[in-house]
Amino acid sequence: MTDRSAAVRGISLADAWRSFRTAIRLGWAIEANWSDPFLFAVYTMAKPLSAAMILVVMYSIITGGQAGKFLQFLIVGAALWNVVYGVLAGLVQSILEDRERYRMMKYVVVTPSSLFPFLLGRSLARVGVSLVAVVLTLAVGVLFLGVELRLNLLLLVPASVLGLVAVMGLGIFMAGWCLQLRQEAWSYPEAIAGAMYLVSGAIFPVNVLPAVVQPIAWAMPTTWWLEASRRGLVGHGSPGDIGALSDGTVMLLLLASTVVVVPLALAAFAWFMRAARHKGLLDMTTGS
Amino acid sequence: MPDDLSIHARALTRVYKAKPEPVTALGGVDLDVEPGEYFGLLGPNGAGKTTLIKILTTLLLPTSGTARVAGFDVVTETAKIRRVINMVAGGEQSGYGLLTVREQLWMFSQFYGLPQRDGWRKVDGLIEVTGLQEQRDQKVRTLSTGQRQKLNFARGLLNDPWVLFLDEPTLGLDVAAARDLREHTLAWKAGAPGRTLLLTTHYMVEAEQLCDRIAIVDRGRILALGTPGQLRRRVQAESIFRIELDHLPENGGLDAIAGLPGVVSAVRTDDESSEGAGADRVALKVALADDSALTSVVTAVAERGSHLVGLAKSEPSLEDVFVELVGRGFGASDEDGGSRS
Repeated sequence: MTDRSAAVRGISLADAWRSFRTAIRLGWAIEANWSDPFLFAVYTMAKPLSAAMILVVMYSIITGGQAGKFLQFLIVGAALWNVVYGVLAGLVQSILEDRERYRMMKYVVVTPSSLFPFLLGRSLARVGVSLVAVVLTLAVGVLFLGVELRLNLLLLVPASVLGLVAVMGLGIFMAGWCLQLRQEAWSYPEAIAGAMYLVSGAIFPVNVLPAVVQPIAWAMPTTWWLEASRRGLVGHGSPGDIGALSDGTVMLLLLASTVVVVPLALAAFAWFMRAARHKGLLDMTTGS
Repeated sequence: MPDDLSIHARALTRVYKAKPEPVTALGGVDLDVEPGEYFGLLGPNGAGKTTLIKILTTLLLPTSGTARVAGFDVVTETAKIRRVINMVAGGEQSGYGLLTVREQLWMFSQFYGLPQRDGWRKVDGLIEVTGLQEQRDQKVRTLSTGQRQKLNFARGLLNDPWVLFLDEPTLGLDVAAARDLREHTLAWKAGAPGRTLLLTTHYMVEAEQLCDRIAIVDRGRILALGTPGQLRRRVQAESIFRIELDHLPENGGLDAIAGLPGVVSAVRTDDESSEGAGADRVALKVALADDSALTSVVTAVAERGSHLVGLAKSEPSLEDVFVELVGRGFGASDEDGGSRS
């Protein structure tokens, strides 16, 4: 046994990549097959559009039908938020579904593949669907609501990459946290995503938030990602202090907040995994 | 050397936090399993069998003590352990229902790091071995319980594990499906030397059929450990034979047999099978210190003019062993024992 044991290796980058790739296929199979293709397409389009339209209608009623720059701020923020929600919900659902519904998490955990690339891959299908929602919402904004696209790909592309990494970091933190919770925990991330929605400048400029909340907003990478992406899509013009910052400053703050958040999230996930192993939660069915 | 063993555990303890007081699921287990050995953990629900498997498969951390699988520590060397083990649990409806049998197996082949082409080849081979050819393109959600468990078993062999953990693998299966699974398990063992199995079960027949050695477990402790034969001898030191004769031996009869060297006792025990078979037919229960004394008994019977009509060895069952050790049967698992598996 000793000779054979010496030949056994740990997890390699190739293993992680293979798991990630395979988990994407699994995620898509689950995401796209819960209903027939027509219903899936209708749901994919109707959900984000209706969410954005509710905001637009509310805004129009409050302002008496006066469209303006703020409507553009609102629509772009609501569109981009689909990505944040897609990542958070995708990661958390992966944990809960695999453990509680499919009861396969224990079998994934005992493979040499790490749960981390598996979860990322598993949730990516949801991210893909959310990108469709972003495009659709923006298209409706441009065609019917006066949104003017002024694409700056030099800003949009790096902002999107950094933003996605940051949001994935937040999502992996939340997935680890949900590993400690009961099946009903699927609603907790939704609540947190909702809170982040309010404080990240998606629909309310940070300046109008209560003073005690504003430091949280400035510390969130989502705030800087939304602002950088807005500038990459529709140019400058965000209301409040954030609109006065240079592109370089916004990108630097996005980078800084991402660099802080992601390692912390990974460390937290490792801690949550160990805690789950300690408490025996990796194969627990809590939905009773 | 612990590193040469497939499984090595010392003082392994697991305590769950619970109210009103902590629950001890494992209370200091010592266990050594040799490479190539099929080892069974036999015990009622709540004995701690599953907790032990969870620790050895790296799903759960022990509260104290040490355990090594294939020479690797279960706490610090999980990645290495996971490369050489696999696990199959029974009595559950696990599986990605939206995937086909083939897709699900292929997916796990990737998690085990098999190159794509090798993965498909391995998957198709295991589908054939487990008799799932007709279901290969069927979605997992449409499979019967037995078919799902076959799929689960096939998944358990994907990485050709050194140590395979089977946790109540035939729980909830019908007789035919359970038999199939046991046959697959034995065939896997025969496939290559050194393959080790740790099986938990509360089915005596399963443990006897599959295992070289068995540990009887209750309330988180190993009460007895040995081959099935050794365990039986714990409750019955003598060999008991039921001897059926056409008539009672002459010239001293029973007393003469009882006085033979190696014979502990010999009593007449006419029962239903001997009654009515013939007016003079008799059945004797003969206890021997050793099986070798049987020859002299048979010779003595013949010398005294009787003819042997039937001979059977009476063996205690593993359940008898369990009852002797624990003081209750398998059906009466002690919920108050508080063990959690």
